[in-house]
Amino acid sequence: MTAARGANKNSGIAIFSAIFVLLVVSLLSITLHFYSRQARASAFRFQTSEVARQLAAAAIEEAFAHVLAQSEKPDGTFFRKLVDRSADIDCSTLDLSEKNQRGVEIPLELTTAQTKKMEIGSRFTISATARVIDFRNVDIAGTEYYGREGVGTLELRVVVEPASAFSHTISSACTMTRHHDYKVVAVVASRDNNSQRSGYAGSYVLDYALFLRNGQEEFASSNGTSLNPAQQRLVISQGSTDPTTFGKVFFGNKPGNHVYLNIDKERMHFIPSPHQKEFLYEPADQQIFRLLPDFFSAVRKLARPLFADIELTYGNFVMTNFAADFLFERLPVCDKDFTETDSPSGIIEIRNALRLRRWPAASDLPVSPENAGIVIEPEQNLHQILEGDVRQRFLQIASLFIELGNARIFAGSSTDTDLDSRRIEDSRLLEDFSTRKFACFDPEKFSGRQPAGIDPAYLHSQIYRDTRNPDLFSRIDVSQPYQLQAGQPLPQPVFYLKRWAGRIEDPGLAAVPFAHINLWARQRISRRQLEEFGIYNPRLKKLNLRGIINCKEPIVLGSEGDIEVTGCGVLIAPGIRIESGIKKAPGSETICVLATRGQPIVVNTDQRIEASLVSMGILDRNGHVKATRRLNLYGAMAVDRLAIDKWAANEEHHIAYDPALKRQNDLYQINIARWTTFERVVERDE
Amino acid sequence: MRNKGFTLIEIVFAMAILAVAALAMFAMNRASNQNSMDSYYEFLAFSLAREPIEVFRGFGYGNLRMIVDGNVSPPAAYKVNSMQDIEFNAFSEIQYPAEAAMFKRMIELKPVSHGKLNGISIKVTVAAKSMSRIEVWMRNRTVSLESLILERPE
Repeated sequence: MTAARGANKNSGIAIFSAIFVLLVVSLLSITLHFYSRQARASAFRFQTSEVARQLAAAAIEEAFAHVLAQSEKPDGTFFRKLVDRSADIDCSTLDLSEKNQRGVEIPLELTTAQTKKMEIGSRFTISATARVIDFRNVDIAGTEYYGREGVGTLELRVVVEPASAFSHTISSACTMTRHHDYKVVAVVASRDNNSQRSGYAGSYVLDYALFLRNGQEEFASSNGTSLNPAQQRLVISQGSTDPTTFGKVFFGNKPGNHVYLNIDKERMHFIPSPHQKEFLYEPADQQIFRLLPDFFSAVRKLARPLFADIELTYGNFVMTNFAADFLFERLPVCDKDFTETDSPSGIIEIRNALRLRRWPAASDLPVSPENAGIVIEPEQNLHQILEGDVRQRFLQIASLFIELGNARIFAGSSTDTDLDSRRIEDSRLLEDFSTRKFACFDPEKFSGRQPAGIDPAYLHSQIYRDTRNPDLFSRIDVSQPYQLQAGQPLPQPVFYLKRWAGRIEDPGLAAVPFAHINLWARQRISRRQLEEFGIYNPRLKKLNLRGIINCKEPIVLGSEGDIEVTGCGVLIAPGIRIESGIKKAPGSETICVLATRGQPIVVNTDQRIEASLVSMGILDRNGHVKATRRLNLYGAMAVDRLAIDKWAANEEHHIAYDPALKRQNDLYQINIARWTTFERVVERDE
Repeated sequence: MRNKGFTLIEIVFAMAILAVAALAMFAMNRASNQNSMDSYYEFLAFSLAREPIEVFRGFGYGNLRMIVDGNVSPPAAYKVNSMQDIEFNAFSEIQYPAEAAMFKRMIELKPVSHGKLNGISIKVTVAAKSMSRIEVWMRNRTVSLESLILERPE
């Protein structure tokens, strides 16, 4: 029984052993298979994750390129959203938890097209959004920038995730986030010609066809010749007939101080009548003798042999059949008639004297040729163009005219009777003084040398005593404002410092244009970098401006020929030389401003320059433009000093204001930095 | 009568079961091994495909465009539009795993554009060299990866 029981215990052990071994092997195999499947799944996840990441990388590049391209279009929707910081894109004021709830969809045509061609990529969906997560419209001192200007941070976010149909088989996804700084700057700030600005705008000088910051100082130090050049003619005109787009002209006077412009013959209508000679006073023969001491001396010399025994005085002479008048007329000082009269020495002195604000001690200055000086057009709109206290300067000339052709002069021992009088005949003497015109000056105000012939003391003490008419004296008229409608004062412009909201009436204290360097798109780049960044290519003769670009080296533009400029922007350099014309590209809005910080802008061409030239210094305040040839500028000019004496002589220089600079709305530029300031890649792999 | 042993039938039956099970195990092991090796080589192939994309992304659109236009030759290790063997050289600047030498790679560059937006589509195809052991293990003989490198407007 025992043996049989033992046999029963051993029965079936083989099958159990086999099953055990089988279980162990199965377990190992299953484990191996599990891990191999894991490896396989990992490889697939790696593959899908890599595809998702590559798609995200491409998509965010495309999104950035799209945003950059859109930021160039001021009339585009995205541009307006970014400038206006519309509610759907601006998250700068939201809490962190809410920032992701807004954003503008960015189209991804190229990446989407590529995705569809890819086996795995076609299983993903891609979306890109842009949002503003930070914006600062104040500078470091807390002063607000102009309008919508400011510095912000733009966030681009690309999400690559499996399409819903594949969400069960693909778990990979990728979210890529990038931050780029961007700047919004007003290249041209809107300006209503009927009012003044209420704060600092970087482009404020572009309101003016000609803006002289230190015009008053230059005018005074040059005795007025700066605005009344002797050898150059400067015509300032408008590129539009619409007064709302006129560029202003400001000569930089401080409040209470005037600057004067001469008037030429073509602008007689600026001058109050009389334009023709008008009778003022008819002197008697005795007054003639006393007014003209030389004439009287000659007469007395002739009479002395006849009356050797008496001392001849004025009372011993009588003159009849003569004509004498004090005449008065108002004339421009840039009139060739003044140099061609019968009394050239006197008139030239007057003319030279009038070139200065005060009468000169010496009168050896060169005479202005005809058609020199500054002309502002259109004349009928001068009151809409000029700002500041500009006064017209013209000559009120009074002269004594005598006609002695038929005069008869008698001398006698007594004035009581003419019985013993004897006629003095000397036709040569009468011819000398006949049809003569003697300029009359007030000796109390005219400190210079008097024109020969007339006795100013007698004129003042006797004739003026009788007439009490100040027009008896030649003088410069400085009381007429340079406008057509009398009594309408010209507006005095208002300026600002970039960090001070208060009004400044002295232009010399105003901040330079484009002073907020935080808003500059590029700073201190080299000439080589100008080319590298595609800003200026001398070989292609292209200038592409967007925003404010600061070059640290002096630049020469147009050495290879005329330049075509595109975009809207400002190029600031420590010295600019223009060798050829500058033309705006057709078909697009283009604003080109070439600026220095007081270094001269040299224009070596007479070709048309469709740009604005700004040379205003921060410390030395000596910025100016030097036109070595005839200047043909279509834009605006803003300088510290006109320095027109350095311009090409005997040329008619021309500044025509570009109406594109006078806008009813601001012209902004957006500069998005290429640099990535932050990047985060999140790969979902679960 | 009660002292029963294994009958022949029992043994044969057990061996049959065992054999079937073992065969299944062998098959499963082989599949597992195949999966593992396939995964490894596919991972390696994808890494080799990703490499030129990252390199060319670093070049940027401008330089890449010059390569596409034929104005500039690409680096020797990244010839375009031709299948190129990946060399294993312990002293070269770019180090690859030894198994990378069993792959060959083709880089294709193609300009694309949409409106004013320009880009270059880059497609990298990595394939196993013929007669290499990778051909045995990789189910997909080739893997490819594509991306875009876009121009940044000035």
